[in-house]
Amino acid sequence: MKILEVNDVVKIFKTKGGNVRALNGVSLDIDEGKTVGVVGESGSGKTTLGRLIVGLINPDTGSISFEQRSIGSKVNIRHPDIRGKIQLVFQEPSESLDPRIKVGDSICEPLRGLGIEKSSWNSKLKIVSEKVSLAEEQLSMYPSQLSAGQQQRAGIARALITDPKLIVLDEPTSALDPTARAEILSMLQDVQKEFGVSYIYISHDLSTVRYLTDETAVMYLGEIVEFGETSKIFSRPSHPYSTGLLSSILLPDPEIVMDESLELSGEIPSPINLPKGCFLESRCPISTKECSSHHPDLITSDDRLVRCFEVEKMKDIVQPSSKFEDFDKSFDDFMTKRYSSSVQAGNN
Amino acid sequence: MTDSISLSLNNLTVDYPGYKGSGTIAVKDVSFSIEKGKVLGLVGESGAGKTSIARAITRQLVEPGEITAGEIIFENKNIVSMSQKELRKYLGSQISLIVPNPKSELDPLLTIGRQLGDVVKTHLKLNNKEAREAVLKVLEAVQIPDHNSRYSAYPHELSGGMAQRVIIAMSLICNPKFVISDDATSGLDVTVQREIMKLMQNIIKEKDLSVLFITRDIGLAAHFCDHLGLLFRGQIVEIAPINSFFKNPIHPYSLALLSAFSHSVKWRKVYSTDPQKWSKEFFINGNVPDSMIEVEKGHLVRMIR
Repeated sequence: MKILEVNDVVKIFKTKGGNVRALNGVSLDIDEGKTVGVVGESGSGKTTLGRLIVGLINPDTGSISFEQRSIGSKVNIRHPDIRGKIQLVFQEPSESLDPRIKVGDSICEPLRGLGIEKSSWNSKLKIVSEKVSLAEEQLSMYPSQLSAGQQQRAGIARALITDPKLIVLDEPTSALDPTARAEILSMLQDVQKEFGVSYIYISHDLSTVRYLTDETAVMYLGEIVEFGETSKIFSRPSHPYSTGLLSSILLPDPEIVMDESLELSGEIPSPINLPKGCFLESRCPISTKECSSHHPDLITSDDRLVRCFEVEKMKDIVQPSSKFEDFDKSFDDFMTKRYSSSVQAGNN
Repeated sequence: MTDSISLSLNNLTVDYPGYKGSGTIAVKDVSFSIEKGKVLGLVGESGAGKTSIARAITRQLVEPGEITAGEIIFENKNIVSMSQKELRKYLGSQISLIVPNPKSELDPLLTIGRQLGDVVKTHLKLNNKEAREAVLKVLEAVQIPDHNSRYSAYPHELSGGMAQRVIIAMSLICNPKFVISDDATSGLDVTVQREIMKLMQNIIKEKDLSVLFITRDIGLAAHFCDHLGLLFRGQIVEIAPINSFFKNPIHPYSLALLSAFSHSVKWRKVYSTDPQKWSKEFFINGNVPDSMIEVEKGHLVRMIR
């Protein structure tokens, strides 16, 4: 069942320097219990999309509906029917907790807004803090006494306590160390298995997107340029921008070198003066005349949606690759071997 | 042998004394050497002492941090015992530091050209005309498009990637021999990071620079460094030539970090970053061993047999 439907939303921010076209017609669906990844560079509109979905800002045109109810200026995140069902986890864990309130109280705070009786707060707190592996004594500490990873756990516990159907995760791990990041991500997976909550995972860290998401939307300058199953996009990207992003992943093995035949050059153009043709045209290695004069639509191509005139050519250039699976497998093989030999050495 | 070494640390210890005597030892007994023209990657998580090492080498430790033991030898001279006057000759011109957050490092009120020009005027004693030429040359070298007009741009007019290029330009303008990169690309987008890394790789080769490359990202280090050292709570736990490390990582912390990067739930359960869970050759009587064992040529692991 579809839990959230985003329909052709446009969001323009008016500034002194001109109109910033943050989102230019984005559509996205998400099923119950699933995770959709939203990837792209800074300035691609990822965070704006997340904020629209939770109802913190309203779209200029287009619509968003949650459980078949339209979210907008009348029914937003504060509406009694929706309140608590959509939650947001922020990027900076320390900034999302009040430094003068104990962590446990911060986690319970959303319950006050829902009008839930105080007597049941403790049992709810116990369930969610166990879920995110926060110890009881940590709940009576102040945020500054926790590590960044623990603070983010508290942020996630606070999102979970209202029993949400959908959580928008806006770069929840980008401020964390690699080991804390890995722990938070597997915790999010466990939570999803148990509660059946849906995630929208906004990130620029592609290796975590591959790990966590079912489907991926690749965004560039406020529009989706490719959408499809995550594993399919990673094994054979169809849009030159996706290819560029994927080839920037550096796996921890010096022998795995990414295919760099399609290299992006330069930087993301200003969202104030959007190009007339394809937005990627200035950076794209395979752009043609048509790309600079016409804007491509998001069309169905085999198993996904792609916004590119040269989608057939891309199929010739980008061959399916199993680099990521190969890496997983070789890492696992290596560790199995290494572990069995160390166990043997320990016995001797 | 010593002629081929650009910089070496011998048993460096950095201490941040506390008010009541119980200070924090941020860097403990760290030794390594970097050959000329080579890149040593130093990987560790926050609090491992990466930045303290970078700042110790440039003698810019944040108060109250101080070097309490060890020496830093750069071209046969000990940086630790240099006078401030002597030090000034080296910093900026021979040794330079590339920092993250390029925008906070640049003066918002001065043009790029002026800021870069000041560096060469101070260190190389160039006149205005020569300085301008040197600045334009270095802006071109770091591939800033339209560098003639960017010369008079202010920092806020640059994107993050461009500002980082300016910082790299600033660190290269006096033709240093040794460059420290402290998480230089961590704030950048992935595609921009890749371009910057390629640029740095080319410059390192061209100018035969020696580099200390500090990062949290072991994936980045894998593709960029000749040697790799893993830093854990102020100590190096494993250091090796890059291929030797990735073919045969030994220390449980190295394995834990690799498992985290590979998102392998299974192996993260086996290898922990908590020393209490390491086997006794790596952690004994509540301490990591003082000794390191050479398991292969140049591949050292902090353990006891």
